[in-house]
Amino acid sequence: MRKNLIMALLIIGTFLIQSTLRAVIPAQYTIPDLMLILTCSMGLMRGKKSGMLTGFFGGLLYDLFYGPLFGFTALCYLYIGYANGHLYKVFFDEDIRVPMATVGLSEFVYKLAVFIVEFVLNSRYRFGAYLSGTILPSVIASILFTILMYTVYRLINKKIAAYEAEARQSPWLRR
Amino acid sequence: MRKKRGSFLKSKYMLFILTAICIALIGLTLTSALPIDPVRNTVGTLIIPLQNGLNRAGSWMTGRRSTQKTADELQLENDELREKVANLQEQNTILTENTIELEELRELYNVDREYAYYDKVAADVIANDTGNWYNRFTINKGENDGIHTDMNVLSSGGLVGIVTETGPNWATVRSVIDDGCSVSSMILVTSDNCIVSGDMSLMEQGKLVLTDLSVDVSVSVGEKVVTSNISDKYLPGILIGYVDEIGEDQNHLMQTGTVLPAADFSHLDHVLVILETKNTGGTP
Repeated sequence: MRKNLIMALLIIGTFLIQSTLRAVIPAQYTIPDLMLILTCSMGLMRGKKSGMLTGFFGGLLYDLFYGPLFGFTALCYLYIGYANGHLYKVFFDEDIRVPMATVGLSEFVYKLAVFIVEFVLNSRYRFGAYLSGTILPSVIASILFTILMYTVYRLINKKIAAYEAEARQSPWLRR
Repeated sequence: MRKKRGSFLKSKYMLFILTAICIALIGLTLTSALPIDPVRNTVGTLIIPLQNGLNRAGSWMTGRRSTQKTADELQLENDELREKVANLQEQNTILTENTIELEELRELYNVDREYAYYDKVAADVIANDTGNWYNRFTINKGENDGIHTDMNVLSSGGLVGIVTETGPNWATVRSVIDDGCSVSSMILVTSDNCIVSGDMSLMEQGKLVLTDLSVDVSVSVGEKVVTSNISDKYLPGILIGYVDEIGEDQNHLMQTGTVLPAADFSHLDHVLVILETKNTGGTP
């Protein structure tokens, strides 16, 4: 119960920070996709289910306010969380390079999906301009912000994991 | 081992169910069978005050950073500004005289469609879509201040966009540089109609696409482009921007080019909302 509450607060907090980040970041820089970083982090640290749920609700919140198609971002983030969850068993959470790589890849795939939807809806075909103008800057911004955000998320996850372990174990077995 | 397999199957089922929900949501909103406005309003009333506060905190932090200029810089700026004030004061007197004259002439001609005459309300941009430009953004005024869907939004320089959704204390604005957004407009000098639209590939350069301008019209770079009288959502005569490039398209039937918008989309903090929607007379 407390875990779910913390997750909900994390998603809402991330959304709030992301939508108001422009007040701190100068206009010529791209805003990183914090919700995607959260989804990837949760998938990597907590597994497929957590990744999926985080992505789904985070995407839904985004869609509610800014999405071109209600449900589309949720769908993309859902699969990103699921895909990252596959690495849960092989990944040690100390290595920052793994989340950086998966965030970069996920951002690329997600923006590609956005382009395809735009292509269908508005028949845009200048892929080159979109690639250099939008996809690459956001991939780089997200990779850089992963370093900071992942560290924060990892600390929070440690707290959740400690609480879970505490709840599961009998008092006299506790470390 | 058994537990592991169980959770694996479960996560697959969950993926399946959530995918189905997403696809259903997309389908339902595409056919507009599902009203998401009530949900958005409820969530909005909870989230907007938080965004407002965070935004203010962020602006305060960056504001403090930018005040840390050196005395030399400030002195230089002060000199420049003084000069500017003197110039503006002089201009202002001339303009005031002109305004009085203009008003008299207007009364004479019964013309009051200039957009300075529209009732406007000022609002702050408090949250925005995550792109580099303000494609869609949220402002801190809503229905309580008389803002409704389809109202035009201006910034110091010109047209910014149109209100797409409203809540009691917030509204979402879709800007003209957003991909797929198109405005029926005209070249001010010649009154020839054309279409100005947002384009994803030009968004990063902050330009708009100009299409459907007749080949017979001769237009030079730098001419003003304004919203046209025949637009169904935009009020007439609002400055959009200036012609940046123009040329015949491949089949030599129309002219296409780009427009440099008058509003500065990379630094939008304050906007004005015109409290009037275009009355087209017919069915919307």
